[in-house]
Amino acid sequence: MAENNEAVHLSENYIDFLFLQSQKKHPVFLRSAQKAIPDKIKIHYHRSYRKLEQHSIAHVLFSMFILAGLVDYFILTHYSQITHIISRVARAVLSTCLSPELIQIEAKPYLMYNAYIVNLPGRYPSLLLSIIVALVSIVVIGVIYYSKKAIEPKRVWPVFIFFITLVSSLFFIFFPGFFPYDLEIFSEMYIKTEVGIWVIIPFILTIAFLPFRMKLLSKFLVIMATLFYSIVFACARYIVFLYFLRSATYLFMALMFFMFGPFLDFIYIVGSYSLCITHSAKKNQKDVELWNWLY
Amino acid sequence: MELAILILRTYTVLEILILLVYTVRHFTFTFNRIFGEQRLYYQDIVDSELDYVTILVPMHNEEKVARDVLTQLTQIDYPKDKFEVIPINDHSKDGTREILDEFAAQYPYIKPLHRDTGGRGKPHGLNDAMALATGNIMIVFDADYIPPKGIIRDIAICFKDPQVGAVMGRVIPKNTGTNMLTRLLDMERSGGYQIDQQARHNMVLIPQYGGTVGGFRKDVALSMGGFNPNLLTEDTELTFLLFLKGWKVVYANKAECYEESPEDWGVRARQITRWSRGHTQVMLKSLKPLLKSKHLAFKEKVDGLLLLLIYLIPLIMIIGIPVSLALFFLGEMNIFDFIFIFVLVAAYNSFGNFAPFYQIGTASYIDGVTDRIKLLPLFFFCFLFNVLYISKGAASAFLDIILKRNPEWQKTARFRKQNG
Repeated sequence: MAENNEAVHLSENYIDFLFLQSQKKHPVFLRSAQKAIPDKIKIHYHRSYRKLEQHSIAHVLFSMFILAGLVDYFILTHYSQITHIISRVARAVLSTCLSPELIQIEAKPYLMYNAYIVNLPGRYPSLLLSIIVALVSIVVIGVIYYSKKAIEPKRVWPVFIFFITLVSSLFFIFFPGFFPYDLEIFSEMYIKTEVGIWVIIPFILTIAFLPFRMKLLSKFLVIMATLFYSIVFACARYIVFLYFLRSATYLFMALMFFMFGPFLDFIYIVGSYSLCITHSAKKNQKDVELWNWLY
Repeated sequence: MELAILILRTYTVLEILILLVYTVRHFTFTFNRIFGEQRLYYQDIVDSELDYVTILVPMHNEEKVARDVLTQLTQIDYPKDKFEVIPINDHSKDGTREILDEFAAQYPYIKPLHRDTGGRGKPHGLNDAMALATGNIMIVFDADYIPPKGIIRDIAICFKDPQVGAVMGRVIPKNTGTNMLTRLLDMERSGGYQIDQQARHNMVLIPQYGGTVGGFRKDVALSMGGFNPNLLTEDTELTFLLFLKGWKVVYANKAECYEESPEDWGVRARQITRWSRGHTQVMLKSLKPLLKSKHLAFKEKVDGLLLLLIYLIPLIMIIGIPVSLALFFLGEMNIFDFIFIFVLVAAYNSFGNFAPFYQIGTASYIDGVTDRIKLLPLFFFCFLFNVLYISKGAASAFLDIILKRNPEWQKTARFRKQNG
């Protein structure tokens, strides 16, 4: 401790010296020196073998119970009300552009209770539309594929999008009477999948947060905020899907489900995780007490 | 039709199970690294009797980077009479030869090997260089690497253990701040080395020799017939050959060396395609011997199996896309009710195969990274990119066998701007 104080003292003298020098012509040097020298006094563990102290089993179980268990309990006992609210909002919004008589809210049994969905009549694509979409898809895939030798991520995504659209349009060209879904089934699938996502969010984030030293309340708030965002996003996307499928026909149902469905939900889940860990990393990097070495 | 549906369903369920196994694997590694006891390598050994080492630097048209790596090697902290540097000029058409000759004239321990005839590629070059090498310990750096002063000792000292056949150090990208790709690759590398490799070392599993920033015993490599020029990942081959013969591979997390990571998506695509193709070649060659090996413990076999199969996962996933579409149009979407979510979770966890988000997040946290962690969601957009090109590489490896063709070695392009 005495050595530390001495080091601080010496470095402050040194900074004073630099400050005097800086009066002449080295202000930039001074700024970096002021910041850098006190940091040098602390010797941090090298990143190669530093680690965090292991949580006790009781802590892990308690975290899992509070963060995953209780939140999941809330979801599993309230998804009926949540899906009902989503369906009511969707009906209210869709009523502004579609005839309200067409839009029904229906209860579908799911797990222990009912999940509520919006049902409205959809449209099948015409043969001409299917052929046009198939041709456009082939052209776009070809153009993207041959535009550059290497396909960047921003080009790979459209390829997959147009590939699924192509498969769908070919299905409607050759087997138009065999499409096994309507908007009611799609609605049911979508809502049930979203309930599943809400159950998974607390579970994934609780496990992913386990290594990090954050207050339980902070973790709880992040999980709840992510869940809230997920519910709002699910509602907004539901409205867009229903409107789009009603207007643009079932031709795009596969695309909606596979590329813009639950797949996208993981972006904001990881987004929440990354923001939280960034905050924790900034707070804890310089905390010598936090890090252990080897054992 | 019912049989077809049964097959499609079975495929989907198997895909989910495989992805879940890899999810558990990544979680295990992540928790081991952040909480578990860390196993050091041999960094604390102090021995004045340092082995004579030969440093090999394979080069093909490396005029942009050759000068840097050689300059670094002239400044290393290792007795000058205990090492030699053999830069391997492999059919270069640019100014590489002149640079090597210039250094050779100045430093007697730099002994260039100019290869203008014979097969091209890293395995050919390494085989020829081993024939010339004086030392038994070979330490390899790719030409775009910037070896720090103490790294030769850090790697060489491990060979004091007679059971060690190869050593792998840690690769750190130097050009991280260049663009989004380099930032993402830095995080991906962090996940791969800080978590994957160190956890494997901790758990006494199968740390991988990566072909650069590492070393191996020449006599052992030669006793195995040298490097197979028809394989694109000679490093993975050596790893498994060593383990199958009872040798150990050590991972030295502190032996850090800077590299230049690809700055262009096209280069990255070719790089991961080559890795995948080569890794799958080794998988096809090593799978059976691995399972039958008497030198490996059960947990090493399990880890080796998962490591060998890792580049097949994207191919399994890409086949899963038409399978899922077929089930969708056959009206079999009900099987996705809840399970589909697990597919997505597992797929997302795999994240194009290199490291899932929590592994990269944890590795970055240990590494002291802060703001860059916010880029994690962007890995999602690399997902299909990785899946596509890794699948392409893995499929090529199978086609190589069917069509009885030998793949050609492709060098990774360099981006370094020359000084002056």
